[in-house]
Amino acid sequence: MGKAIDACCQALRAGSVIYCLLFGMYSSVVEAHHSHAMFDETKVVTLEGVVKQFKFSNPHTWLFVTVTGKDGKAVDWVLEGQSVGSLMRMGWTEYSIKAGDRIRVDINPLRSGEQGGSFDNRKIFLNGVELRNAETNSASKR
Amino acid sequence: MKYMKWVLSVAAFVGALPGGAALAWAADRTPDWSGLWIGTMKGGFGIELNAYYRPGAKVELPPYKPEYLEKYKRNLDQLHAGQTVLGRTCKPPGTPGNMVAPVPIEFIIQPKRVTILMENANETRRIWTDGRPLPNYIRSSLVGTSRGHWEGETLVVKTVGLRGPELQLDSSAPPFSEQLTVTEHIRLVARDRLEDTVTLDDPIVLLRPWTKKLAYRKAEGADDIYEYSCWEDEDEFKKANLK
Repeated sequence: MGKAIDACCQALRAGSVIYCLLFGMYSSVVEAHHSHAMFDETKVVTLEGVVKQFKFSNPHTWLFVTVTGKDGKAVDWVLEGQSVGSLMRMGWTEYSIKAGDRIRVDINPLRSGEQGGSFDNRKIFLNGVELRNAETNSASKR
Repeated sequence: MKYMKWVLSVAAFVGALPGGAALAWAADRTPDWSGLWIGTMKGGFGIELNAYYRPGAKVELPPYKPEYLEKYKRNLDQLHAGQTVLGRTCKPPGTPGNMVAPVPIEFIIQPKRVTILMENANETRRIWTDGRPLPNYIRSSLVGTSRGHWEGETLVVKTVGLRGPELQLDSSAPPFSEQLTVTEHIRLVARDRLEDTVTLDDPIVLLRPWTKKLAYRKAEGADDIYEYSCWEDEDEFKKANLK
């Protein structure tokens, strides 16, 4: 827990994190692959940066975001998301997020304090516009 | 009897009509569980971790024998400390962890069999409901060997031949033996709500049977299960330095 708070504070010092919140949800649902234990689901951190890469893969999708701090130093964050199927049912495609997009994303940070986290079920703004989820099978129509 | 040939001809003609299959289906009175079902259990199969570790909270633990209860509690402590118990794995969860369904499951109900397709790890459960006995020899597996029957519109399933020690009911890895028997009562409770009452009986690790009710909602507007290709992101996983 202390490490996660450290992670929040480090990020705050870097000047790119808007807020840290207590969130209070835990899950031990197992999806083949690995547990969510390394993410601190009691905290939400908001990152602002530029998308380096979005990988639409199973069992997890991945977002690489470059966050530039007030000191001008660029740091890459590695963010894990839900499986392709889960996102497709919410209307996502591999084109939903593109390299170069300006992104604001809420994450559950890694407990280890490293620059990483999970963007499951979290708010995402791309170039100022909220990426909205809708449970649908219309991914192919997008 | 002289009319039998005529009756059979008419029956064959009706059967050949486009609606013939539907007539046979209706006559069989199998319930309609079409669509995709997603689990709504917050804590997975086991207990909700944050509830368990909340000071003063009373959370009932599974009825494990003392030595297995200690093992289970150690797993919970490990998870709570932010460490994984199972590590990275593409191994399917097996029955009944596969029924927790963080991603959808789908039922195919036929007169003599129910098939459950799972998106998670592409697992498939085949449940014969035609009264056949269990095979004489069962090679243990993660998905197990199941037989079922209908009690009204409730599907009752018994599963044996499970690789208990390898099962992943959830990420806290509750321990089981190969003597585990899983009995399920699956029924529709509303048009868009399904439940599976799961009873785990394992004389090696449990003091008494452990019953857990799993709940599902119908995924409105979603029809498709997608391939769960668990090997695609190994590079990213390494880059992220996760376990």
